[in-house]
Amino acid sequence: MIEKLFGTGTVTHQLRGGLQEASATHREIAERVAKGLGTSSVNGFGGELDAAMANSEQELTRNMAALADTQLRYEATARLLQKSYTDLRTAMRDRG
Amino acid sequence: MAEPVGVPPVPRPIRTLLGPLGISASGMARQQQFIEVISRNIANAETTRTAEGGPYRRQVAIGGTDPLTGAPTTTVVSDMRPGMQVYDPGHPDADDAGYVTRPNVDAATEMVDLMLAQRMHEANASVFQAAKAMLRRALDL
Repeated sequence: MIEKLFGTGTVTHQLRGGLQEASATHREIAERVAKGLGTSSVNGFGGELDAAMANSEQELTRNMAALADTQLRYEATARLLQKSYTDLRTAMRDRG
Repeated sequence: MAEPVGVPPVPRPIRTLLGPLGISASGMARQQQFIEVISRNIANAETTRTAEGGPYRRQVAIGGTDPLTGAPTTTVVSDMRPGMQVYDPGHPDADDAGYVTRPNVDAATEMVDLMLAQRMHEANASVFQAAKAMLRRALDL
């Protein structure tokens, strides 16, 4: 009985997996952003500097977009999981 | 510490959630070190005499990772490009021909580097805030 409420294949189990996946994605993004610039200086001028800045900006924009996406997905999954737990609590409490 | 043989590893959800906080904090610490080096360069842009002799040499911080521990490391090296020679016979550090060797610091380059470091610091702070919000949300479940 309990297995049917919390076990593999249930909604809560799937949502928990979703939360863990979002956490892992967030960790990867954090690692990429933390690596960031390898040095305190971008040597050279003109084309080299422009290219380095463009790459850095592009990479940063991509990572920040991925971060926003992950955060929203995490929030949505957490809300669904909370609703699911509320339903389970209600079912256990109102057993007649 | 090694995991016991035959026992499945225990999931550490809190550690998974706290991980990005530590990573972002190390990223911010690295950018702060970069900013420190850049501000030192700007502060010494006019220094023509140092304890080592000669004008100040521009410093560049290089970020890396310790191959053994995986911890982030920062090495500071000197930019060995020669500084500009300026004719100023009245300067106390002028040579016999009246030329003074200026530090090889270019204010524009330093400002660009400073902006990049600042932007990266902000990005790390944003990731940190997101991790904190996610952790709080998980605790509310």
